[in-house]
Amino acid sequence: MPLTRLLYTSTSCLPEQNGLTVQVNAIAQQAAERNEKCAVTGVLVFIENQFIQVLEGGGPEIEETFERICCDLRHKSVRLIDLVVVKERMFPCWKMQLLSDKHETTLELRDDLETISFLVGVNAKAAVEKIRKCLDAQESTTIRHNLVC
Amino acid sequence: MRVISCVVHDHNLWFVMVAAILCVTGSLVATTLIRRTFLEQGVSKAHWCFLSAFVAGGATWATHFIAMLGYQVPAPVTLDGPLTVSSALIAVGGIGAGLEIASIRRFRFAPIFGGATIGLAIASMHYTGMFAYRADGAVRWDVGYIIASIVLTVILSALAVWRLQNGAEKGRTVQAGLLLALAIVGLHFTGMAAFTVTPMPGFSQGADSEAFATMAAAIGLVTSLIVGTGLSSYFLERKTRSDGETRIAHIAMHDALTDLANRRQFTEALESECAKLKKYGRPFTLLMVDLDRFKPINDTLGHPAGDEVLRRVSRRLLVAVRRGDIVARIGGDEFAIISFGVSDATQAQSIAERIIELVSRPMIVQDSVVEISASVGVAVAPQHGTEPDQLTKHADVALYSAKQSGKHTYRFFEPSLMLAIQRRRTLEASLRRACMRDEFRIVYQPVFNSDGTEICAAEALLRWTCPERGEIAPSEFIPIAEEQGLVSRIGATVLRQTCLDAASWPDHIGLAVNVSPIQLLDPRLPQTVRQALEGAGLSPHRLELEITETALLQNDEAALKVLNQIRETGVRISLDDFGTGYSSLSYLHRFPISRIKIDKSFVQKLPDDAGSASIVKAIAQLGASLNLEITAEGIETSSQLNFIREYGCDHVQGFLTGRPVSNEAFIGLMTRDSVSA
Ligand SMILES: Cc1cc2nc3c(=O)[nH]c(=O)nc-3n(C[C@H](O)[C@H](O)[C@H](O)COP(=O)(O)O)c2cc1C
Repeated sequence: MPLTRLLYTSTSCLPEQNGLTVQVNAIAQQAAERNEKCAVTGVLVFIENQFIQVLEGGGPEIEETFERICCDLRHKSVRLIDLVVVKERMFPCWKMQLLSDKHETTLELRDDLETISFLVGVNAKAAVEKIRKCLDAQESTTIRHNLVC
Repeated sequence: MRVISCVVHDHNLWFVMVAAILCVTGSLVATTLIRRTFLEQGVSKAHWCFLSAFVAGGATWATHFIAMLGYQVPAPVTLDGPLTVSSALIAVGGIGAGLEIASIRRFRFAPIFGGATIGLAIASMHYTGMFAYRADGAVRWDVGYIIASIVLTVILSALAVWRLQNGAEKGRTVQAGLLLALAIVGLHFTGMAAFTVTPMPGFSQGADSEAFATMAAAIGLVTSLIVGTGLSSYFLERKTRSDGETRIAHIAMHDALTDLANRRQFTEALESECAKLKKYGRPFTLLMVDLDRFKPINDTLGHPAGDEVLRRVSRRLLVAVRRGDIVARIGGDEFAIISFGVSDATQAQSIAERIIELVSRPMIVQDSVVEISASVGVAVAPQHGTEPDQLTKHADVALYSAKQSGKHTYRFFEPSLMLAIQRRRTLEASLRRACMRDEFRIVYQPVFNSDGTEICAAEALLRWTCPERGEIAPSEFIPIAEEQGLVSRIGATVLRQTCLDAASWPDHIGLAVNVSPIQLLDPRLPQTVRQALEGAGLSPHRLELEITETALLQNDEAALKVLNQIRETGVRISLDDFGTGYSSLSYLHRFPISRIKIDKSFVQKLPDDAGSASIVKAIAQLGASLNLEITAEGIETSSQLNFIREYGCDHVQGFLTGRPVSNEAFIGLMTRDSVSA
């Protein structure tokens, strides 16, 4: 079964007044639960009201998950940046890890997120690799979800 | 009186009660089944007939038999087995025959005769059963009662069947069932009244009532099973049928591909909504949705992918609308939405925006990324109409206008749109006529060297005066001609005419003719050009074809092929309106272009607008280094001319140096020019 990786960006439509952190957490939580059912893994980055998401999984599962995401009115301007067949997952152990500038983040992470946000516009592969590095750096502080590993 | 006393005195009332209950329920179920039988035809009729006869016969027989068992005679009783069984068969067979007779078509009295047959069957069953009943005593029959019993049951049965097929719908089955029950019970007790047994002296022992009770219970049970089976078959069949009907109704009202409502359901919903609007004043909004760029998906990815896209779009539309709104697919890639209770523009607007947003999001279909968009036309009831036709038309007009204004957008209906559409319709019709009658005029705008002193060429421009609407600008009629598929034809005529005109000009005067993007995609264009040149005897190097960048954007491989063929004949190609579109430098490199024409929007802002000035300078330099000639269009003032001259454009054209004029006037210009020179 060919593995597929998808990278997209979108702009949040979440109402500010309800507490962004809570809402973004809820999205990541809901996503993780759904993804577990179809062996989709990945990362959700939230920075300056923009979502950057990487999804990895089987072709049909990615297609379905992305279609669900595209039916969600909590974000807009969905731009598909990259859709590639890959040999192995870059995020095998993350159901849907959240990296957000709204959470108590270190200055260092904030910098990283900005770099990612910039990279997405120019080089998809580099952006994905940077996200992975960023996660590895976080490893000590965040809980690691074991799904595939 | 004998009948009543027979019931009360000669029968064990418990048995009578069981018999009566069986009789009534059996009859009711039987009439239900019989009614169903009458509705059927062919093989299934035979099945229903069998089932009805079985239930009715069984119930009749059981009634008779149990009541018999409850008959108290002061004499020993034996039952003849074969005769008892035959009596049951007579009941079933006779009733079946009666049903067949009753359903003969085109025979007015069929129900009466059929019913009478059933009555006779019941009577035969009864009296056969009586022969099976052997009491040891003096048996006496009263012929009067026998006849009365037969007449009674025949009449009641006939009435029961007649009632099943006639009279009010209400209570039909129940009334017929009760009539049938009455026929059975009536026969039995009248028949029993005709029957007396006088015990033989010395034998005063009665029937064995305990054994009889067991037998009655067994028969009652079996009969209940038969009746129950008949009833449950009936319900089972009805459920299956109504499931089937629900499914058929669903198919009739839904689109098979997307499972959205289909056009028929949409039309009905729109009509009922318009009716409610008139009755209760309940407003609603009609949105027409049309996909942009859908056809290429079918063409490039195949129909299965196209179908999948339509299914995805349907789901997204359902997300975009509000709960309970009707989303219908009314054509290949056309959808219609009725949004209930929406009356103000902001609400309708946000639905339209959601539709456009959701549809324009990317889709992954069969590993390919598909991007489409939607155009939406909105009509709000009652502001924009109260009749289905009118609303549909107005929403369509709004949709058309959304498509015209660049797609991927929505428009509300406005009365002015109707005028615009009317104008467009007239123009379409007149343009067709004009095309047939060659009603176009060609004018020539002189192109000067950058001094503005010497004419070196002329650009041919098309003019059209619509008989109804007057002079129409090319920017308005050319798109219509393109859409109507007229542009290649007009283009060919123009090429022919201009080449003829130019052939009479001095040899050093060039001719520039515009070619539309659509023409460029026509592989016959090189041929058309060659024929025009040969027909007029014009040398190919005097002709220059002006194309725009948009022509290259759409299908650059095909365009490249056509352009190369044309270039090979010696005709030159120039790029018009340069600077306004993508102005991709790769075009200059890849395509056989020998001239750039700087768009007049820049020239007209010269020399004060710094941005335009630097663009013009850059283009001029680009031309110099790529060895392309540069023409500046739209020169209106002498300061513009001075600026252009300073930065080294090769040619100029504009109102300052010369307006477009007829061929004769242009020839006049050239002679005056050469005289003054
Ligand atoms: C930014 C963003 C990211 C999301 N990521 C995922 C995801 O990775 N997987 C997923 O199944 N749903 C994801 N969702 C949620 C889906 O869009 C959708 O709400 C969810 O699957 C619920 O679908 P359901 O109502 O059909 O269960 C995301 C939503 C947003 C706004």
